[in-house]
Amino acid sequence: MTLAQVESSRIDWEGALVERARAGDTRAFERLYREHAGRVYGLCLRMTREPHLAEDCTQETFINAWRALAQFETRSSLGTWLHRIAVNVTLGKRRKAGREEPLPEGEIEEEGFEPHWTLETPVEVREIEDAIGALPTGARDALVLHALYGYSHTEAAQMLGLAEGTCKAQLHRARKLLRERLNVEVG
Amino acid sequence: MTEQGRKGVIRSLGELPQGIEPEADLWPQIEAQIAGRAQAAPAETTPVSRAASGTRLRWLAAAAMVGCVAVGVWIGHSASLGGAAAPPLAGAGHPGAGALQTAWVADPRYQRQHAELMRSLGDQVAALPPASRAKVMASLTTIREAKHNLEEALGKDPGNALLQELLVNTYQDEMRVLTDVREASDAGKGI
Amino acid sequence: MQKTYRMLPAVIALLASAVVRGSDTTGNFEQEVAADAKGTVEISSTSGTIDVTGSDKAAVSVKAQLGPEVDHVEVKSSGNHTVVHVILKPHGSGVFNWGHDETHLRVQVPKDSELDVSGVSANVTSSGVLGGQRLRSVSGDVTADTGPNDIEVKSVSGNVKVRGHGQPARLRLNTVSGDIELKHAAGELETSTVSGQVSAELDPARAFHARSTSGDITFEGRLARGADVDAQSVNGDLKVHAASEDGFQYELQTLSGDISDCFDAKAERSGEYGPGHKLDGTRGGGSAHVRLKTMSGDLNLCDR
Repeated sequence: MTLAQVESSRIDWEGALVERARAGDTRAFERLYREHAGRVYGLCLRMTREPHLAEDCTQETFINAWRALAQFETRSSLGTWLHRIAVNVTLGKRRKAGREEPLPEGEIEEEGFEPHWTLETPVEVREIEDAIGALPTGARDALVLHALYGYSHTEAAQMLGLAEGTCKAQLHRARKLLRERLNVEVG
Repeated sequence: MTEQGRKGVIRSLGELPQGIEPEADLWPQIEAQIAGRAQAAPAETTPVSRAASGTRLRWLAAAAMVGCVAVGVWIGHSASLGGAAAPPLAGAGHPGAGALQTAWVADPRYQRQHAELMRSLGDQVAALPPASRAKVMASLTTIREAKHNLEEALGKDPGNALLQELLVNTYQDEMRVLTDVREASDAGKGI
Repeated sequence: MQKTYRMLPAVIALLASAVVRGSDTTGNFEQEVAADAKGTVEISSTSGTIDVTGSDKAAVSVKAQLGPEVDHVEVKSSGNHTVVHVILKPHGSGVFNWGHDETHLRVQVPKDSELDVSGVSANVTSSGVLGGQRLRSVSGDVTADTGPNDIEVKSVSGNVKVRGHGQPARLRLNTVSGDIELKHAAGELETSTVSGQVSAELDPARAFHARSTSGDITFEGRLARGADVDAQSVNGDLKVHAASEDGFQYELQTLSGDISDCFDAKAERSGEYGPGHKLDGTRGGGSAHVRLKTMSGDLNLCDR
């Protein structure tokens, strides 16, 4: 069995549930929800910083996903697709509440430097989460998508509706602020 | 990245857990919202694409195909089994029929596939290791007996949804076994 | 002398190829190839045993005791894909002489490999492999340890025994006539057998879907929030003992069997005129779903 076939059989499993959900099987959709709810809520919570708002975003994400299932291509990652919807939902709610921030001035990281988001000394999880929560919204969004959820600069920028350079600027800002707050080098 | 607990220390942001379970179960509200659209979904969605690949009978594809005959629809005897005439349909006068619609359907695709698998069954079983031959035939006999018992019970209570569901599942199981035997015999012949 | 030295490489090559091709008198074979730490490893052999173990080495190493019908063992690695195939001598009659060839294959693979093993009448065992696994045997037994990745096991007449280590995974275990046993697992299980017994432990369980025609099905575990438990058998008994912090809704139906539970709920007749009993209800918050259906088997449900 080739790697492509292995990947294909893994996707098939979820793909089979998606197909059933598309045909109106809410039980199949519930299984998809159970599989992905944690990661969607985790993203919403870190972006909104408010559990009730994060719950609203999560619910709306899955409701929107149900409605848009016909457009989902089963070859791609359902998790990523759900995250895209979650980011749209969160940004939409933020716009409605008038909580958008101006974009930072273009400080860019040194050319070619790509942080791995490692910490010089270990830090308590609670402390890190609080530090991330205290970041300005734009910096936090970029950091959460890129450093926590592993999206590339291009993907994170697309999801946030930003130019890639702006996204990188936000990441640079996030790194600087985390360093100051945690008093630890962020490499 | 793993879904670790939210305690302890970490050395990189990538170690933070990606998944956080919400305090409350959000599914009931989601289900309430989408349930109203579930009935309209088949009309709105694109046709379900088949999972089967090529001409190779994958056991999941065979089960899915039989599943398309649908719960609540009466499945007819396979012609290749030389089955007896079907029990009478659920009559309007039968008190147990309830609201279920029952109809006599012999899905032609299922009939064709089943007949093809049954025709080559003898050769396929012969190609299996000796340890498997008797067990496979015993399992197929078990399935046939189960089908017979279910059909007999349905003859007395045609509207019984439990029996209909178990019968559909048993037909699916038979197709799965026949497909597994075919794949297994191909594995044996390929040496 | 010079002639001897010139012949030496040829002699060495001949000896090496003899070992590789398993044609030496002892029937022993040994070979190792470098392999991707997270690549795929595909192994096939006809009869005997196939034992696979995961290791920290970025290599696939094969040791085998070859049966007399073996022509050669193919071991090659290309990119991130490695194959180990036991190739038999061609048979003029096209019919394999079962029972006269037993090859005992031991393969060490990188522990994060994706594994694909197929045997015909070979017993397959796998341990220490953390990547996804697909293990198949026609008449052999399959025994596996599973990590946090998907595992699919299929046997026609052999028994299937899988042991988890509490890490959530998606498991698909199927036989036609063998028994299925799953211990210390977590996540989702889809399983079916015609006449074998199914015994599964999942903690926590996100989904448990089981089917048999005449075999009994037993499930013990803890249900995750919103878990889905669905077990059906025509003649087999179904037993589910599942704790759940968020409770579950249950729906039990049997035509001629008995229904029992540990919370004193009483089954009722399914219909006014026809045979059959059912038991529907909710325990606790009713978040998960439990459905047990059988024609003539007995049903037993407990929430602890």
